[in-house]
Amino acid sequence: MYYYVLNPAAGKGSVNRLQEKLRGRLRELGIDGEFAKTTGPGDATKMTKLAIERGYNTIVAVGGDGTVNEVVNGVTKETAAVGIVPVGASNLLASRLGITGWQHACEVLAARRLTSFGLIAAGQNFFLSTLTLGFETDLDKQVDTDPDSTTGSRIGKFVRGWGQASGYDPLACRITIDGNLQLEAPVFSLSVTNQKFDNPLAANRLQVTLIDKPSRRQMTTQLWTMLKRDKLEDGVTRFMAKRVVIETTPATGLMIDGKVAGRTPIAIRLTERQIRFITEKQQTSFKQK
Amino acid sequence: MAKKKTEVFGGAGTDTVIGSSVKLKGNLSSDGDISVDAKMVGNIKSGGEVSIGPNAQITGEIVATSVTVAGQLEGGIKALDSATIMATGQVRGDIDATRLEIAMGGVFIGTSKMKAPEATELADRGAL
Repeated sequence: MYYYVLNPAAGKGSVNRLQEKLRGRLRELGIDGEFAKTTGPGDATKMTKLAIERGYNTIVAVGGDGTVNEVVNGVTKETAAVGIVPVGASNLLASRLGITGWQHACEVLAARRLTSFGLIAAGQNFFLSTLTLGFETDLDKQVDTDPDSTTGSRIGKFVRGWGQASGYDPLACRITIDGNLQLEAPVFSLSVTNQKFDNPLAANRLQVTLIDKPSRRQMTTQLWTMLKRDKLEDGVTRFMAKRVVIETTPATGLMIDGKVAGRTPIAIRLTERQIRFITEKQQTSFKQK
Repeated sequence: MAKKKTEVFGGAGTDTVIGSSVKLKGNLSSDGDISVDAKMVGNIKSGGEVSIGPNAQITGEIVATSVTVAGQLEGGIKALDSATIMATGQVRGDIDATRLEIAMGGVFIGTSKMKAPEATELADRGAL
């Protein structure tokens, strides 16, 4: 039984325009189910909990990264599966699972290939994909960083981002890794993700990536790479961990799966809880990005 | 912050990469490859290759399959396979490895203990 959690505010209201087409396509594929719309922040979490209590075994987030994150926070049974129909301004999570758009998402849901991902706890919040802080987070708060955006709009974001990056002071960052290793570094940007999203064959581990403040020459390349959501290699520190405590001076805001969520200091750990996602490919045939 | 050298240590395939602007205190371990170009006090243990970058200043022991030092290491190396000191590398400590290579300009102050390679390994290298 499929339960669709629709966020009408996602993607500037694109859910409302899409709703009938989506329902029609899902019916054709034999995976129609109950549609329910959120009315405000936190609703998707409550709706997911209730749906699972009522016996639904597949919850589909129809929205962006924020909606998916709320749904994930409402999943109380490990046997439940989570699907995504990406219609938000930021659809990074869907993109990392190989889902490119709503029509493709319908086919992915019908194929129902499941991959489990370890849930990460950051303070009181849970997330699956990415926590960021530093310059990239400040940029995300101000400009839309949809990975599917056109080259033209990306150039606009790039110009705005370049202006901000050149005046950005790195944060003094101190990280305690797995309780025994102390790391100190000036940080331009930091991200914590589950390495399994990059390599579905790998174990669930926190992958922490720190980026130095680049020189003006490097900044052009790095900023463009960030906006394309590609991997940076130059000036990067990267390590794996099970638990990290991150402190910064000054304290700064965090983003979790594209949504503002708390400030430093923050303790982040990999939990025992797993979420089963409906993904594009099975682990053995997942495309390397 | 300006780096002393622009060379990037640790390629895309390296599991753990610690850049030159970092200070580390504690023990670092990984089943995969580790690349350190930072100031560090502590031991490094790897199931793969350890690369010490030209900007690195490390006080501690390194245990790995193979170790390459292009920076400064105050401490010993235990390498299951090879230990290499590059032209910019300095090692003050003992080295225990099957193979040892020191490039012209590389500094090694300590004692080395080398294990004789197995006959099969010599055959692989074309020595038999």
